[in-house]
Amino acid sequence: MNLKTIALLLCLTAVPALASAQTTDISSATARKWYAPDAVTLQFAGNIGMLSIAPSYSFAQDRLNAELFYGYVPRFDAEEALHLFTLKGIYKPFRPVTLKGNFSLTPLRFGLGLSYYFRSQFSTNWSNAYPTSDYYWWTSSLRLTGSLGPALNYSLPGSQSFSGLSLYGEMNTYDLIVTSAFKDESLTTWEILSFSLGLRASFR
Amino acid sequence: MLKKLSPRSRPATVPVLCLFLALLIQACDEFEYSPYEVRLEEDEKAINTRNIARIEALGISPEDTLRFVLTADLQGFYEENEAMAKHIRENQDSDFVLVGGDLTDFGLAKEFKLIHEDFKTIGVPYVAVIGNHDAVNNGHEAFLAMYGVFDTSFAVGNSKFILLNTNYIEFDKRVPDLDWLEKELKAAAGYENVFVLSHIPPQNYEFGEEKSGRYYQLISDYDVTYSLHGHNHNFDLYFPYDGKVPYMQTGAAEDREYIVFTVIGDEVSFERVMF
Repeated sequence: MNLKTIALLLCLTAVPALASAQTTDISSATARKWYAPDAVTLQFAGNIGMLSIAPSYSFAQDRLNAELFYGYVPRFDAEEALHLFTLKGIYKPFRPVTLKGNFSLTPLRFGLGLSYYFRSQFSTNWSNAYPTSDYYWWTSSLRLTGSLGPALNYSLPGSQSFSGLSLYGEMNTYDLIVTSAFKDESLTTWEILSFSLGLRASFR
Repeated sequence: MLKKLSPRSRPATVPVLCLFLALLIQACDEFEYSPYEVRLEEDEKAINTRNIARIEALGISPEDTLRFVLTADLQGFYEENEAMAKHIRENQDSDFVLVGGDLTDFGLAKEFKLIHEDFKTIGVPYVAVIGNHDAVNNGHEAFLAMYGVFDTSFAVGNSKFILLNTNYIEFDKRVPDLDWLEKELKAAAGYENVFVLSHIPPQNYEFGEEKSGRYYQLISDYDVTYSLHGHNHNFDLYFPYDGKVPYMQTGAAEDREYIVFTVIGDEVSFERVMF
Protein backbone atom coordinates (compact mmCIF):
# COMPACT_ATOMS: atom_id res chain seq x y z
CA MET A 1 0.00 0.00 0.00
CA ASN A 2 1.45 3.34 -0.99
CA LEU A 3 1.60 6.57 0.92
CA LYS A 4 -1.31 8.09 -0.99
CA THR A 5 -3.63 5.31 0.10
CA ILE A 6 -2.48 5.65 3.70
CA ALA A 7 -3.17 9.38 3.61
CA LEU A 8 -6.60 8.75 2.12
CA LEU A 9 -7.45 6.25 4.83
CA LEU A 10 -6.34 8.71 7.46
CA CYS A 11 -8.60 11.34 5.91
CA LEU A 12 -11.46 8.95 6.51
CA THR A 13 -10.87 9.38 10.23
CA ALA A 14 -12.44 12.81 9.78
CA VAL A 15 -15.69 11.23 8.59
CA PRO A 16 -17.31 10.88 12.04
CA ALA A 17 -16.86 14.61 12.61
CA LEU A 18 -18.42 15.51 9.29
CA ALA A 19 -21.17 12.96 9.66
CA SER A 20 -22.30 14.55 12.90
CA ALA A 21 -23.93 17.39 11.02
CA GLN A 22 -26.07 14.97 9.06
CA THR A 23 -27.65 12.85 11.76
CA THR A 24 -31.15 13.42 13.04
CA ASP A 25 -31.95 13.79 16.72
CA ILE A 26 -33.57 10.34 16.96
CA SER A 27 -30.35 8.69 18.18
CA SER A 28 -29.84 11.15 21.01
CA ALA A 29 -33.43 10.90 22.12
CA THR A 30 -33.34 7.15 22.71
CA ALA A 31 -31.48 5.68 25.68
CA ARG A 32 -28.45 3.62 24.68
CA LYS A 33 -28.69 -0.14 24.93
CA TRP A 34 -26.14 -1.86 27.20
CA TYR A 35 -24.36 -3.40 24.24
CA ALA A 36 -24.21 -0.19 22.20
CA PRO A 37 -20.65 1.18 22.22
CA ASP A 38 -19.87 4.50 23.89
CA ALA A 39 -17.38 5.45 21.20
CA VAL A 40 -15.70 4.29 18.04
CA THR A 41 -11.91 4.16 17.76
CA LEU A 42 -9.72 4.11 14.70
CA GLN A 43 -6.02 3.38 15.12
CA PHE A 44 -3.02 3.55 12.81
CA ALA A 45 -0.08 1.17 13.58
CA GLY A 46 0.73 -0.02 17.12
CA ASN A 47 1.13 -3.75 16.37
CA ILE A 48 -2.62 -4.36 16.15
CA GLY A 49 -2.85 -3.76 12.39
CA MET A 50 -1.81 -1.06 9.99
CA LEU A 51 -5.35 0.20 10.42
CA SER A 52 -7.72 -1.05 13.04
CA ILE A 53 -11.23 -0.08 14.09
CA ALA A 54 -13.07 -0.83 17.31
CA PRO A 55 -16.28 -0.28 19.19
CA SER A 56 -15.21 1.27 22.49
CA TYR A 57 -16.84 1.05 25.91
CA SER A 58 -16.38 3.37 28.88
CA PHE A 59 -16.32 2.32 32.52
CA ALA A 60 -15.66 4.12 35.81
CA GLN A 61 -16.37 7.61 34.46
CA ASP A 62 -14.24 6.92 31.43
CA ARG A 63 -11.16 6.03 33.50
CA LEU A 64 -11.35 2.62 31.87
CA ASN A 65 -12.06 1.78 28.27
CA ALA A 66 -12.49 -1.59 26.62
CA GLU A 67 -12.10 -1.76 22.86
CA LEU A 68 -12.42 -4.68 20.46
CA PHE A 69 -10.36 -3.95 17.35
CA TYR A 70 -10.44 -5.58 13.98
CA GLY A 71 -6.99 -4.99 12.49
CA TYR A 72 -5.69 -5.35 8.96
CA VAL A 73 -2.09 -5.58 7.76
CA PRO A 74 -1.55 -5.51 3.98
CA ARG A 75 0.67 -8.27 2.69
CA PHE A 76 3.56 -5.98 1.69
CA ASP A 77 6.39 -8.48 0.98
CA ALA A 78 4.59 -11.50 2.48
CA GLU A 79 2.36 -13.92 0.61
CA GLU A 80 -0.83 -12.98 2.41
CA ALA A 81 -2.35 -10.10 4.36
CA LEU A 82 -3.00 -10.42 8.10
CA HIS A 83 -6.36 -10.14 9.85
CA LEU A 84 -6.56 -9.97 13.60
CA PHE A 85 -8.80 -9.12 16.51
CA THR A 86 -7.42 -7.28 19.54
CA LEU A 87 -9.13 -6.81 22.86
CA LYS A 88 -7.57 -3.69 24.33
CA GLY A 89 -8.05 -2.31 27.79
CA ILE A 90 -7.12 1.32 28.52
CA TYR A 91 -6.57 2.83 31.94
CA LYS A 92 -6.39 6.60 32.42
CA PRO A 93 -4.99 7.28 35.91
CA PHE A 94 -5.42 11.09 35.71
CA ARG A 95 -8.43 13.26 34.94
CA PRO A 96 -8.21 15.33 31.73
CA VAL A 97 -6.64 18.78 32.18
CA THR A 98 -8.77 21.58 30.70
CA LEU A 99 -7.03 23.62 28.03
CA LYS A 100 -8.20 26.56 25.93
CA GLY A 101 -11.61 26.47 24.27
CA ASN A 102 -13.07 23.02 23.85
CA PHE A 103 -9.73 21.27 24.29
CA SER A 104 -8.52 19.14 27.15
CA LEU A 105 -5.52 16.89 27.67
CA THR A 106 -5.51 13.36 29.04
CA PRO A 107 -1.93 13.10 30.33
CA LEU A 108 -1.60 9.32 30.22
CA ARG A 109 -3.33 6.29 28.80
CA PHE A 110 -2.03 2.81 29.65
CA GLY A 111 -3.08 0.16 27.19
CA LEU A 112 -2.88 -3.61 27.29
CA GLY A 113 -4.04 -5.66 24.34
CA LEU A 114 -4.43 -9.32 23.47
CA SER A 115 -4.40 -10.06 19.74
CA TYR A 116 -5.69 -13.13 17.97
CA TYR A 117 -4.45 -13.88 14.45
CA PHE A 118 -6.70 -15.68 12.00
CA ARG A 119 -4.30 -17.62 9.83
CA SER A 120 -3.64 -21.33 9.94
CA GLN A 121 0.10 -20.94 10.46
CA PHE A 122 -0.58 -19.03 13.68
CA SER A 123 -1.57 -22.00 15.77
CA THR A 124 -2.97 -21.90 19.27
CA ASN A 125 -1.52 -25.36 19.89
CA TRP A 126 1.89 -26.44 18.71
CA SER A 127 2.18 -29.72 16.82
CA ASN A 128 2.23 -32.73 19.14
CA ALA A 129 5.19 -34.03 17.11
CA TYR A 130 7.63 -32.04 19.27
CA PRO A 131 9.78 -34.09 21.64
CA THR A 132 8.80 -31.91 24.62
CA SER A 133 5.62 -29.94 25.37
CA ASP A 134 7.58 -26.73 26.07
CA TYR A 135 9.67 -26.79 22.88
CA TYR A 136 8.38 -23.26 22.11
CA TRP A 137 7.14 -21.28 25.10
CA TRP A 138 4.76 -18.83 23.40
CA THR A 139 1.45 -19.24 21.58
CA SER A 140 1.67 -18.29 17.95
CA SER A 141 -1.88 -17.03 17.37
CA LEU A 142 -1.94 -14.82 20.49
CA ARG A 143 0.20 -11.73 21.04
CA LEU A 144 0.24 -9.38 23.99
CA THR A 145 0.81 -5.69 23.30
CA GLY A 146 1.36 -2.77 25.63
CA SER A 147 1.03 0.96 25.04
CA LEU A 148 1.49 4.27 26.78
CA GLY A 149 0.75 7.85 25.72
CA PRO A 150 -1.32 11.04 26.01
CA ALA A 151 -4.51 12.16 24.28
CA LEU A 152 -5.79 15.52 23.13
CA ASN A 153 -9.56 15.81 23.55
CA TYR A 154 -11.93 18.16 21.75
CA SER A 155 -15.53 18.43 22.95
CA LEU A 156 -18.32 18.93 20.45
CA PRO A 157 -21.14 20.73 22.28
CA GLY A 158 -22.86 21.51 18.98
CA SER A 159 -22.97 17.95 17.70
CA GLN A 160 -26.05 15.85 18.23
CA SER A 161 -24.43 12.45 17.89
CA PHE A 162 -20.85 12.93 19.08
CA SER A 163 -19.88 14.45 22.41
CA GLY A 164 -16.18 14.65 21.64
CA LEU A 165 -13.12 13.57 19.71
CA SER A 166 -9.91 12.33 21.22
CA LEU A 167 -6.66 12.14 19.28
CA TYR A 168 -4.14 9.91 20.99
CA GLY A 169 -0.53 8.98 20.42
CA GLU A 170 1.12 5.88 21.85
CA MET A 171 4.45 4.19 22.31
CA ASN A 172 4.00 0.47 21.82
CA THR A 173 5.78 -2.77 22.43
CA TYR A 174 4.87 -6.46 22.49
CA ASP A 175 5.63 -9.62 24.42
CA LEU A 176 8.13 -11.37 22.11
CA ILE A 177 10.38 -8.38 21.59
CA VAL A 178 10.33 -7.56 25.32
CA THR A 179 11.64 -11.05 26.08
CA SER A 180 14.33 -10.50 23.43
CA ALA A 181 15.40 -7.34 25.27
CA PHE A 182 15.65 -9.29 28.51
CA LYS A 183 17.71 -11.98 26.79
CA ASP A 184 20.08 -9.50 25.14
CA GLU A 185 20.82 -6.20 26.82
CA SER A 186 22.31 -4.67 23.69
CA LEU A 187 18.82 -4.42 22.20
CA THR A 188 18.00 -0.75 22.80
CA THR A 189 14.74 0.79 23.96
CA TRP A 190 14.26 2.31 20.49
CA GLU A 191 14.55 -1.09 18.92
CA ILE A 192 11.69 -2.52 20.96
CA LEU A 193 9.40 0.53 20.81
CA SER A 194 7.20 1.80 18.02
CA PHE A 195 4.53 4.46 17.68
CA SER A 196 0.85 4.62 16.88
CA LEU A 197 -1.85 7.23 16.41
CA GLY A 198 -5.57 6.92 17.04
CA LEU A 199 -8.81 8.81 17.01
CA ARG A 200 -11.65 8.02 19.38
CA ALA A 201 -15.07 9.57 18.72
CA SER A 202 -17.45 9.42 21.71
CA PHE A 203 -21.16 9.08 21.08
CA ARG A 204 -23.47 11.42 22.87
CA MET B 1 -26.23 21.52 5.83
CA LEU B 2 -22.78 22.65 4.73
CA LYS B 3 -23.51 26.05 6.17
CA LYS B 4 -23.26 24.47 9.60
CA LEU B 5 -19.56 23.80 9.10
CA SER B 6 -17.40 26.69 10.07
CA PRO B 7 -15.51 27.61 6.89
CA ARG B 8 -12.62 28.82 9.00
CA SER B 9 -11.79 25.68 10.92
CA ARG B 10 -12.92 22.30 9.63
CA PRO B 11 -12.28 22.24 5.89
CA ALA B 12 -8.82 23.68 6.48
CA THR B 13 -7.80 21.48 9.40
CA VAL B 14 -8.63 18.17 7.73
CA PRO B 15 -6.24 18.50 4.76
CA VAL B 16 -3.59 20.10 6.97
CA LEU B 17 -3.86 17.23 9.44
CA CYS B 18 -3.65 14.69 6.61
CA LEU B 19 -0.61 16.37 5.13
CA PHE B 20 1.02 16.45 8.53
CA LEU B 21 0.31 12.76 9.12
CA ALA B 22 1.52 11.82 5.64
CA LEU B 23 4.79 13.66 6.27
CA LEU B 24 5.11 12.03 9.67
CA ILE B 25 4.71 8.57 8.12
CA GLN B 26 7.32 9.33 5.52
CA ALA B 27 9.74 10.84 8.01
CA CYS B 28 9.41 8.18 10.62
CA ASP B 29 9.90 4.48 10.15
CA GLU B 30 8.82 3.73 13.68
CA PHE B 31 5.24 2.72 13.01
CA GLU B 32 4.87 -1.04 13.36
CA TYR B 33 1.72 -2.75 12.15
CA SER B 34 2.23 -6.25 13.56
CA PRO B 35 5.05 -8.39 14.93
CA TYR B 36 4.19 -10.71 12.01
CA GLU B 37 4.31 -8.10 9.25
CA VAL B 38 6.84 -8.54 6.42
CA ARG B 39 7.66 -5.03 5.20
CA LEU B 40 11.16 -4.80 3.74
CA GLU B 41 13.65 -2.32 2.37
CA GLU B 42 15.16 -3.14 -1.02
CA ASP B 43 18.46 -4.32 0.51
CA GLU B 44 16.55 -6.71 2.79
CA LYS B 45 15.01 -8.69 -0.08
CA ALA B 46 16.32 -11.86 -1.78
CA ILE B 47 19.56 -11.80 0.24
CA ASN B 48 20.57 -15.40 -0.58
CA THR B 49 19.79 -14.97 -4.26
CA ARG B 50 21.79 -11.74 -4.49
CA ASN B 51 24.68 -13.01 -2.38
CA ILE B 52 24.99 -16.27 -4.32
CA ALA B 53 25.29 -14.19 -7.48
CA ARG B 54 28.02 -12.17 -5.76
CA ILE B 55 29.89 -15.34 -4.74
CA GLU B 56 29.68 -16.76 -8.25
CA ALA B 57 30.95 -13.44 -9.61
CA LEU B 58 34.09 -13.63 -7.43
CA GLY B 59 35.78 -15.53 -10.24
CA ILE B 60 37.33 -18.16 -7.98
CA SER B 61 38.87 -20.91 -10.11
CA PRO B 62 39.15 -24.61 -9.09
CA GLU B 63 42.89 -24.09 -8.43
CA ASP B 64 42.38 -21.16 -6.04
CA THR B 65 42.27 -21.49 -2.28
CA LEU B 66 38.71 -21.12 -1.05
CA ARG B 67 37.99 -19.89 2.46
CA PHE B 68 34.58 -19.65 4.09
CA VAL B 69 33.15 -19.06 7.55
CA LEU B 70 30.47 -21.23 9.14
CA THR B 71 28.23 -20.06 11.97
CA ALA B 72 24.69 -20.85 13.17
CA ASP B 73 22.08 -20.09 15.83
CA LEU B 74 22.41 -16.33 15.99
CA GLN B 75 18.90 -16.18 17.44
CA GLY B 76 18.58 -13.16 19.66
CA PHE B 77 22.25 -13.01 20.67
CA TYR B 78 22.60 -9.52 19.24
CA GLU B 79 25.59 -8.50 21.33
CA GLU B 80 27.58 -11.59 20.34
CA ASN B 81 26.36 -11.30 16.78
CA GLU B 82 27.65 -7.77 16.44
CA ALA B 83 30.98 -8.85 17.93
CA MET B 84 31.17 -11.79 15.53
CA ALA B 85 30.39 -9.63 12.47
CA LYS B 86 33.13 -7.21 13.56
CA HIS B 87 35.59 -10.06 14.15
CA ILE B 88 34.91 -11.62 10.76
CA ARG B 89 35.26 -8.25 9.05
CA GLU B 90 38.57 -7.46 10.76
CA ASN B 91 40.26 -10.84 10.97
CA GLN B 92 39.12 -13.12 8.22
CA ASP B 93 40.27 -13.29 4.68
CA SER B 94 37.25 -15.41 3.78
CA ASP B 95 35.30 -15.42 0.54
CA PHE B 96 31.86 -15.77 2.10
CA VAL B 97 29.93 -16.77 5.23
CA LEU B 98 27.44 -19.59 5.69
CA VAL B 99 24.77 -19.33 8.39
CA GLY B 100 23.38 -22.68 9.50
CA GLY B 101 19.88 -21.53 10.49
CA ASP B 102 18.09 -20.00 13.47
CA LEU B 103 18.87 -16.39 12.70
CA THR B 104 15.86 -15.57 14.89
CA ASP B 105 13.95 -16.77 17.96
CA PHE B 106 10.44 -16.12 16.61
CA GLY B 107 10.74 -15.88 12.82
CA LEU B 108 9.99 -12.14 12.98
CA ALA B 109 11.02 -9.90 10.08
CA LYS B 110 12.26 -7.46 12.73
CA GLU B 111 14.72 -10.07 14.06
CA PHE B 112 15.96 -10.98 10.58
CA LYS B 113 16.48 -7.27 9.90
CA LEU B 114 18.54 -6.79 13.07
CA ILE B 115 20.77 -9.71 12.07
CA HIS B 116 21.08 -8.43 8.50
CA GLU B 117 22.10 -5.01 9.83
CA ASP B 118 25.24 -6.62 11.31
CA PHE B 119 25.89 -9.19 8.60
CA LYS B 120 25.73 -6.75 5.74
CA THR B 121 28.79 -5.07 7.26
CA ILE B 122 31.13 -8.09 7.16
CA GLY B 123 32.46 -7.16 3.74
CA VAL B 124 31.74 -10.53 2.13
CA PRO B 125 28.46 -12.13 1.01
CA TYR B 126 26.57 -14.37 3.45
CA VAL B 127 24.09 -17.12 2.67
CA ALA B 128 21.66 -18.54 5.22
CA VAL B 129 19.69 -21.76 5.51
CA ILE B 130 16.36 -21.74 7.37
CA GLY B 131 16.27 -22.97 10.99
CA ASN B 132 13.29 -24.25 12.97
CA HIS B 133 12.95 -20.96 14.87
CA ASP B 134 12.98 -19.06 11.58
CA ALA B 135 10.04 -21.15 10.38
CA VAL B 136 7.60 -20.46 13.24
CA ASN B 137 4.92 -17.75 13.41
CA ASN B 138 5.09 -15.92 10.06
CA GLY B 139 8.73 -16.96 9.57
CA HIS B 140 8.11 -18.98 6.40
CA GLU B 141 7.00 -15.84 4.62
CA ALA B 142 9.60 -13.58 6.23
CA PHE B 143 12.45 -15.92 5.27
CA LEU B 144 11.11 -16.46 1.77
CA ALA B 145 10.92 -12.72 1.13
CA MET B 146 14.21 -11.84 2.82
CA TYR B 147 16.45 -14.74 1.79
CA GLY B 148 14.72 -16.74 -0.93
CA VAL B 149 13.74 -20.37 -1.48
CA PHE B 150 14.33 -22.83 1.38
CA ASP B 151 16.39 -25.35 -0.62
CA THR B 152 19.13 -23.89 -2.76
CA SER B 153 22.64 -24.58 -4.01
CA PHE B 154 25.60 -22.88 -5.58
CA ALA B 155 29.06 -23.73 -6.83
CA VAL B 156 32.32 -21.90 -6.37
CA GLY B 157 35.79 -23.04 -7.45
CA ASN B 158 35.88 -26.82 -7.17
CA SER B 159 33.20 -26.96 -4.46
CA LYS B 160 29.46 -27.31 -4.47
CA PHE B 161 27.31 -26.04 -1.58
CA ILE B 162 23.84 -27.47 -1.03
CA LEU B 163 21.52 -25.74 1.48
CA LEU B 164 18.73 -28.02 2.69
CA ASN B 165 15.67 -27.23 4.78
CA THR B 166 15.53 -29.92 7.49
CA ASN B 167 12.86 -28.36 9.72
CA TYR B 168 10.67 -31.43 9.54
CA ILE B 169 8.06 -30.53 12.18
CA GLU B 170 7.68 -26.85 11.22
CA PHE B 171 7.07 -27.87 7.60
CA ASP B 172 4.43 -30.47 8.51
CA LYS B 173 6.77 -33.42 7.89
CA ARG B 174 7.10 -32.52 4.18
CA VAL B 175 10.84 -31.78 4.49
CA PRO B 176 13.72 -32.51 4.16
CA ASP B 177 13.14 -32.97 0.44
CA LEU B 178 15.57 -35.83 -0.07
CA ASP B 179 14.60 -36.35 -3.71
CA TRP B 180 15.75 -32.80 -4.35
CA LEU B 181 18.92 -33.46 -2.36
CA GLU B 182 19.68 -36.56 -4.44
CA LYS B 183 19.16 -34.60 -7.64
CA GLU B 184 21.57 -31.91 -6.41
CA LEU B 185 24.13 -34.51 -5.32
CA LYS B 186 23.96 -36.17 -8.75
CA ALA B 187 24.46 -32.76 -10.37
CA ALA B 188 27.49 -32.16 -8.12
CA ALA B 189 29.39 -35.12 -9.57
CA GLY B 190 31.94 -32.88 -11.31
CA TYR B 191 33.02 -31.11 -8.13
CA GLU B 192 35.88 -32.25 -5.92
CA ASN B 193 34.15 -31.12 -2.71
CA VAL B 194 30.49 -31.17 -1.76
CA PHE B 195 29.17 -29.46 1.39
CA VAL B 196 25.60 -30.03 2.54
CA LEU B 197 24.39 -27.41 5.01
CA SER B 198 21.20 -27.76 7.03
CA HIS B 199 20.00 -26.61 10.42
CA ILE B 200 18.83 -29.75 12.23
CA PRO B 201 21.28 -32.68 12.04
CA PRO B 202 19.89 -36.14 11.20
CA GLN B 203 20.60 -37.58 14.64
CA ASN B 204 18.06 -35.18 16.17
CA TYR B 205 14.52 -36.48 16.54
CA GLU B 206 13.24 -33.22 14.96
CA PHE B 207 14.93 -34.15 11.64
CA GLY B 208 12.21 -36.78 11.18
CA GLU B 209 13.04 -40.34 12.09
CA GLU B 210 11.78 -41.73 8.79
CA LYS B 211 13.99 -39.23 6.94
CA SER B 212 17.34 -39.67 8.66
CA GLY B 213 18.17 -43.15 7.31
CA ARG B 214 17.99 -42.06 3.70
CA TYR B 215 19.89 -38.84 4.47
CA TYR B 216 22.83 -40.82 5.91
CA GLN B 217 22.68 -43.14 2.92
CA LEU B 218 22.74 -40.29 0.38
CA ILE B 219 25.58 -38.47 2.14
CA SER B 220 27.59 -41.68 2.14
CA ASP B 221 26.71 -42.83 -1.39
CA TYR B 222 27.62 -39.51 -2.96
CA ASP B 223 30.79 -39.17 -0.93
CA VAL B 224 29.90 -35.77 0.55
CA THR B 225 32.88 -33.85 1.99
CA TYR B 226 31.09 -32.44 5.04
CA SER B 227 27.55 -32.53 6.42
CA LEU B 228 27.23 -29.19 8.24
CA HIS B 229 24.64 -28.30 10.91
CA GLY B 230 23.61 -26.05 13.77
CA HIS B 231 20.66 -26.38 16.17
CA ASN B 232 22.21 -27.99 19.26
CA HIS B 233 24.26 -24.97 20.39
CA ASN B 234 27.59 -26.70 20.90
CA PHE B 235 30.46 -27.72 18.67
CA ASP B 236 30.68 -31.35 17.74
CA LEU B 237 32.39 -33.40 15.05
CA TYR B 238 31.52 -37.03 14.46
CA PHE B 239 31.49 -39.74 11.80
CA PRO B 240 28.13 -41.51 11.94
CA TYR B 241 26.80 -44.23 9.64
CA ASP B 242 29.77 -45.14 7.42
CA GLY B 243 32.56 -43.74 9.62
CA LYS B 244 33.91 -41.74 6.68
CA VAL B 245 31.92 -38.54 6.14
CA PRO B 246 32.44 -35.94 8.88
CA TYR B 247 29.32 -34.33 10.37
CA MET B 248 29.94 -30.98 12.00
CA GLN B 249 27.67 -29.18 14.39
CA THR B 250 28.61 -25.55 15.13
CA GLY B 251 28.05 -23.67 18.36
CA ALA B 252 25.61 -20.80 18.76
CA ALA B 253 26.62 -17.14 18.59
CA GLU B 254 26.49 -17.06 22.40
CA ASP B 255 29.37 -19.57 22.43
CA ARG B 256 31.49 -16.83 20.79
CA GLU B 257 32.90 -19.21 18.27
CA TYR B 258 32.75 -19.66 14.51
CA ILE B 259 34.46 -22.02 12.08
CA VAL B 260 36.76 -21.11 9.20
CA PHE B 261 37.09 -23.69 6.42
CA THR B 262 39.97 -23.69 3.97
CA VAL B 263 39.69 -25.62 0.71
CA ILE B 264 42.81 -26.26 -1.36
CA GLY B 265 42.13 -28.77 -4.13
CA ASP B 266 40.54 -31.72 -2.38
CA GLU B 267 42.19 -30.84 0.94
CA VAL B 268 39.62 -29.42 3.33
CA SER B 269 40.63 -28.19 6.77
CA PHE B 270 38.90 -26.13 9.42
CA GLU B 271 39.78 -23.94 12.36
CA ARG B 272 37.62 -23.05 15.37
CA VAL B 273 37.88 -19.30 15.95
CA MET B 274 36.95 -17.73 19.30
CA PHE B 275 36.03 -14.05 19.41
